[in-house]
Amino acid sequence: MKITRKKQMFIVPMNSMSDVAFLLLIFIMLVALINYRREVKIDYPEAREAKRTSAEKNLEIWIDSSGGVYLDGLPASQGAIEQAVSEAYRRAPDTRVHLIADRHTPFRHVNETLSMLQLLEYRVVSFVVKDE
Amino acid sequence: MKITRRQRRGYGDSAALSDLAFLLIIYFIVIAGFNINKGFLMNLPAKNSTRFVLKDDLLRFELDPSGGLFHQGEAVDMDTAETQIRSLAATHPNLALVLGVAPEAPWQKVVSFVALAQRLEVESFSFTMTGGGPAGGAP
Repeated sequence: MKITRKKQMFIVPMNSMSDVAFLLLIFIMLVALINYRREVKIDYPEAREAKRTSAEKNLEIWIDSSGGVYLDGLPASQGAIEQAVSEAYRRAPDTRVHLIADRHTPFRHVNETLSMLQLLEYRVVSFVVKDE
Repeated sequence: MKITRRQRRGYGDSAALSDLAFLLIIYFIVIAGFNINKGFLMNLPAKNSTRFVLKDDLLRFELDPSGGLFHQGEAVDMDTAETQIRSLAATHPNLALVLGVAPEAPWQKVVSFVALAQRLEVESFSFTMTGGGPAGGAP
């Protein structure tokens, strides 16, 4: 008599898969929190062929359509921005300053910030745009 | 005595859960990607710095308060400006492109001109507020 063994079906245990997935989820959520940035509600200027300008260390100066200036998403005076730029430059000279102005902002408001950066002898500035 | 067999739980229940978790992972990865800034790098000249340019090499445009582009007093559109820059750059390798911007001109128009100058690879480009000092130059 031939004895046949019942073939066992191979089942991948999915329980451990969900554990891995949730660990990954927690990790990515934490990374996203570290990268979190405050955004000012502005209408981005648009342009074609914009290049990626983010560097390892970045400092964002936002200017809204009424000329309000924000540093990393929080309202700030020109003096506070001047101090923050000098401090960032002293700590890491390769810090990149990003100028994020509303498309309708009158140029004189942007020029005020540019003049301040010129006075600080801060050379390379990124004009942030949205892809057209 | 009643013998009860322990019920086995299947693996199928958690499959949907892991799908959901992976969808959330993709969502967070996409959100993290939004933080990258795109734009144009500009070199700011030193305050009150002067630069000597031959008159023949100079091409100057003006932006009026409403954002209209002018060249030698005549209104031009971006395409015409591009043609003019291209033709002068072909004969003048040391072309210096200057944009005079009215204080009330919208930022979008300035950015559009900066994009044009960078696309045409004009080495010497600067813009200035009408009645003020130089604001920016090519990187």
